[in-house]
Amino acid sequence: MNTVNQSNHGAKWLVEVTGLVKTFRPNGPPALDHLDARVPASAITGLVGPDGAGKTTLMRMLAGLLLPTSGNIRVFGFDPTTQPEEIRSRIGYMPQRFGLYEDLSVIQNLRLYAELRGVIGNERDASFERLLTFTDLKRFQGRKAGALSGGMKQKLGLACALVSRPELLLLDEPSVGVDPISRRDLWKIVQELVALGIGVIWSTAYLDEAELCDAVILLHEGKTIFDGPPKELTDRVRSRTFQLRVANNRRKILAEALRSPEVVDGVVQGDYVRLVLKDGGARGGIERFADDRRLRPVAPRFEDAFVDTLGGLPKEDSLVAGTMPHRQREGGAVIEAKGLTKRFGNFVATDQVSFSVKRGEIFGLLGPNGAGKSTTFKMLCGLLEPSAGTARIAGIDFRRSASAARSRIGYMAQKFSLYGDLTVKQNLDFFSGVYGLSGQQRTSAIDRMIDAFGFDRYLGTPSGQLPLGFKQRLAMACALMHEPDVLFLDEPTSGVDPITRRQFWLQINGLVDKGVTVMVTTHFMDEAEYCDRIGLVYRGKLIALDTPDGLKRGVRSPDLPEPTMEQTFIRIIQQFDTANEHSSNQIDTQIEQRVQPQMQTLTGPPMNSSAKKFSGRRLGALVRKELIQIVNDPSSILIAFILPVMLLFLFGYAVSLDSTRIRVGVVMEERTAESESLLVSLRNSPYLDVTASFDRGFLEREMVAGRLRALLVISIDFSRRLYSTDNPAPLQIIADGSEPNTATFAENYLEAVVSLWLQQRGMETGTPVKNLIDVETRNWFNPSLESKNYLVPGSIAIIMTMIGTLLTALVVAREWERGTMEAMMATPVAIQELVLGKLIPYFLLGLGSMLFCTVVAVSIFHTPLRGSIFSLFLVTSLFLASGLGLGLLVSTLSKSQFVAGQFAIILGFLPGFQLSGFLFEISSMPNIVQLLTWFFPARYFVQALQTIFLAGDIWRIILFNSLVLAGFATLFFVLTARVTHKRLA
Amino acid sequence: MWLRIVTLIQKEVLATLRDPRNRIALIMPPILQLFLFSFTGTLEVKHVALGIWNRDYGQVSNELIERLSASPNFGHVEFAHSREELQQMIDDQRVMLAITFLPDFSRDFMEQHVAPLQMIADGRKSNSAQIAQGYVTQIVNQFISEQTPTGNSPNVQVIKRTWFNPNLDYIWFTLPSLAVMITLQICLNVTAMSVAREREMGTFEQLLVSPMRPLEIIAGKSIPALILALIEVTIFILITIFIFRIPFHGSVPFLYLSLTVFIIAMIGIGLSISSIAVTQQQAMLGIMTVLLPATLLSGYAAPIENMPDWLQPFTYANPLRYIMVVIKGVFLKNMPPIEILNNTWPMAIIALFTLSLAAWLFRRRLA
Repeated sequence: MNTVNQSNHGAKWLVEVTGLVKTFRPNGPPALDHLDARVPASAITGLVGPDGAGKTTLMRMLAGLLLPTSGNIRVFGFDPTTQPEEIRSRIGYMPQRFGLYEDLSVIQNLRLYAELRGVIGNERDASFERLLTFTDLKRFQGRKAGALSGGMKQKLGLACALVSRPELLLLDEPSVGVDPISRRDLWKIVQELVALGIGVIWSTAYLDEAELCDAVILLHEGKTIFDGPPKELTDRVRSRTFQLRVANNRRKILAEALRSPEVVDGVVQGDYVRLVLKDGGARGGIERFADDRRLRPVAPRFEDAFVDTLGGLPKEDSLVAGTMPHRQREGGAVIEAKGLTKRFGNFVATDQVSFSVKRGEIFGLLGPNGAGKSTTFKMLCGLLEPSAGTARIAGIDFRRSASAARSRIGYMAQKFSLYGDLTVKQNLDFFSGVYGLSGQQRTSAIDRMIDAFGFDRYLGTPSGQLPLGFKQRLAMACALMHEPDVLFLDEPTSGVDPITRRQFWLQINGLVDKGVTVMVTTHFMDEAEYCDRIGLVYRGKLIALDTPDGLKRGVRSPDLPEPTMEQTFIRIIQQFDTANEHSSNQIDTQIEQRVQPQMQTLTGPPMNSSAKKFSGRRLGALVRKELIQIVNDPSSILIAFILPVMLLFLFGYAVSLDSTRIRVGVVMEERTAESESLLVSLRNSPYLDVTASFDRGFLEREMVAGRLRALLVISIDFSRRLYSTDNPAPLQIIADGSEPNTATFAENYLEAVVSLWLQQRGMETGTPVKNLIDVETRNWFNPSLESKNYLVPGSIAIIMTMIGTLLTALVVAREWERGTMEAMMATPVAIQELVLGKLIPYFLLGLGSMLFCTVVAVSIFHTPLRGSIFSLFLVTSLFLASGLGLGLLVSTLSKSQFVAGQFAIILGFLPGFQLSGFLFEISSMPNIVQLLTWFFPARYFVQALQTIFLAGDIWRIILFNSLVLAGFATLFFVLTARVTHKRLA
Repeated sequence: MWLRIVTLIQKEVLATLRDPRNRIALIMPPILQLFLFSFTGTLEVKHVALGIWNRDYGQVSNELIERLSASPNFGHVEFAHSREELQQMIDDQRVMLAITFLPDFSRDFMEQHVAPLQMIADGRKSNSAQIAQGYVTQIVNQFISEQTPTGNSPNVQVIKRTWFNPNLDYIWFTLPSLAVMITLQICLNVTAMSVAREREMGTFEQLLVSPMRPLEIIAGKSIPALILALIEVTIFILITIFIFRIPFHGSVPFLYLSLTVFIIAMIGIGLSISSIAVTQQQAMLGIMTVLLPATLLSGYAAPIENMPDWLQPFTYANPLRYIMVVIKGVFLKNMPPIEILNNTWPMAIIALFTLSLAAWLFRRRLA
């Protein structure tokens, strides 16, 4: 039934791609290599392939976010290169990590996307009602998106993508990292949508999901290797799939079977070993592996066909296992958890979990996200300290000898934490050293690994540039060099292609054969089949502990005679919830009833009005979103209010150029009435803090130590020569040149006191000196001559600089980091709106900060404010505009928060400090440098501020500086707009 | 244990040097700052613009005007012909000082009356204005002493000498301090960003899972930072001595002792920031929050003795304060070792404190 208004000119396909090529690096391999694909309406098309196959690249191109290197794309008949807006108004796009704003609540996220897509008024309210109901998020409306569970985020992401009734939904790996239960829910919803005519592209690395799609496009290394209904692919291996019943040593049998040339692929499945055989190969040799010497034919799976299409498993032994020593299977548990409990405040993440793992066992720790599985895992490998209970490795208690316990563990993290900049050899060196290998031991361990994994040609390559399969191998090598007793694997194969995954498990199986114990967590149910035993952690408790088959047997029932691992898993949780009367927010059995009625009204003509070039409403939505994020982000508050106060305080008090009491020493080489009288005058001066002494050496040492800034030496014949005409008494003033400013002041003060003393002395002895020129000084604007008065306005300039550039540098970095930028760009939002939507809130923040600083300056520091508030706001606004513009330009260009931050400091803060004239006098700098200061907006701002605060509204100065600042602002904005595309690359 | 520490040190050095962003951060800002700011960080007052309204036109005023114009401290002289003009000159900041010679100035002087001279200074630049006024006063006094017969009045000749920096070259004051400042920035950058970056990359977890103890991790991260910082500061010192030709008089071993203690103290702070910060962004903010007060409260921009009395004791907790004294002492003053040590032991105490803080924070983070 087709109720969607087909605006694609009557063609059958929503999307048509021919010969698409995309290369990111000029000499590198293409991400997409002459790809062909077609996507119909009213169907779920699976885009399937491992990480790096090109799925996300393709999706981004369909949405017009990336430009192809060559080839043809048509979406709804439009070309995303030239008419992206036509496409964006008709699609819904959900990027990886869902594209949600974590600081915004559920309803705020929905509203934002609604505004951006022009869904308004009554239509909007009705739409929200529907969306919230069928995603069951209605009661969580007010909760912040960041506080939702993985499954709920997934549904919210979908709701946001559906808000404008799209004809095509692009979902980029929507089920990654989400537990099987939530995955199932989402699938059901999407199926309902498809029944109403919406076309869906669902990209995934899970092959069991691929099997359920209406059509699949299989990508491998940028090429399409299959395009059509999954069944077609599966049919290729029809009558070639079999099971062998093997009661014991399944892993070993599997390894042996794989060595036969007839076997293309094999995995462990429950009580059986499942094999895919070559076409027309002899069966005889294989049957002997089964206990009952029979090959049981079995229905083929999509995954079998996939591996077969890729050429099957390469034949190789687990070489690394060959290098490991064989361990005795002694008694005694290798991993032991006793009453493990972990509390975070009032929240109990793990509650009294106990189990033990024998040597040579593969133990799987499974459970939905947030249920306590990772916490348990971390406690067992020593990353978290338990609140109660013990964790032991090979009998060693972590609490007692953590270091010893850890030296028995090998650890492979989810995304292979290797040092990306270091070469393969350097990584191997490092990890072997950290685990205590040195000298001969180290060399031989490293050599073994190089042989076993084939690192020869990659030894000098930085590990960050290795292909994914080799990264995995390197991570494994680093974990195994010290021959650990236990290997901890944290979701080791997520995102990896099936062949690499199988190879990985073959290696693991080989190791386990040699007696290594393995603890693994995974979301792939078929990996769970490899485990000897599985522990299921749910709501912090260990709710099931048994072999895979044992668990399956436990839930077998008439309606579920042959449960898969996934079904087993779901059923156990359901049973637990029912037994404990928990509300099943995990599993939605009523989903069909709830979703169906809402669905009918979900389709119809696309709701958003014409994609206008510039929309105030969209802008408003963006601004509101940004403001909410600012309020929720401590760094913004720090920069806007706390840092300024601190700076004002420092500039107001710590940086003072007023040398009020200079410490000077007076060397009294004689003691006469004259010299004493002079000394008294010196001591009486409020500007001097005098230390007098006969010991010149002592005073000189004090100067060297920095405790005196100047010396006045009254020489031995001072009084005698005081009245001599041709040979007057010498007075040496020795100043400490290491503090030149103070030295100058010291000299001036000393001279002034001497001068005054001479006058007085003259009058007392009846020989007055006429000071014939009377210099009368007036200091305008700053009569008290406090340096603080002119430093404080200048410091406000520095603060504004920091806010402007630092904040924007952080802003864009954060947007990229959280992946929300992509989702934004796939909506009809225009570039100007994006840019302004970022700037306006920070502009307001800056003005707020400015107001705050001014109030502090005036009330606490008593800085006069003689100009008008209007002129203050005028120059501040213009300066902020230029600062923000610069910051935005920098962060758009660099896309790296580190670089952006460095630039913010180099181009913003430091010149503000050194080159703006606020502290250091510009006219005293060398000419070249003076020229340089003309290029920094801070200079103009400082001049304007000093005038406005201290002098008043002198319009010539204010206008001139304002014009220049306006010019800077315009320049930066124009540049930014040019540089920002609604493209990702 | 030592093996693990040495391994970590090797890795840190390699990782720091191989990361292109780090290479930029280690080299570019310091060089930029060194060359640029050594020329700008001056409180010197030169080339001051002077405004003059001569209502006298007599011999004395002309003589004085000539002397003022000839002085190297005054860049150029602008003549005004009315009060309004003079006022505007100051308002528009075309001149910093405006002098008015009242009518009858020369006649008053010749007849041994007091001749008045009015000076207006732009208080918006009060520091520079005061110094400029000093220059004027000097020139005036010089003139007077040449004219007036001393007769029986008491008279002195003031001989001025400046030690340690005879020409009062600001660069001699700025550069040594700048070398320390830049070293400090690098030190903080490397340590504070290191743990944050590892956390973001995911390799920090790998370290935690290994047999390395928290103290070993701290040692392993501190020592490379120390080495790098010492190398950079040595380069700067060499540049300062050989390119800028600033004399170096002091004791090298004691200088390095003091520098080492200083760097260790700052590493402790950097590592503490690193353990608190979750992202690199936060680490950067943390660095700024520490760097700014440390710089301003150290005597770098303005001398400590100018600060209010109640604020000065706080500077005792700032290692930067002590190293400033030492570096200037060693470059300019030939400071004796005992004085260097006097300034070093407080830093050692601070270092002990900051390293313990870092260790404690590390352990807490791990729980």
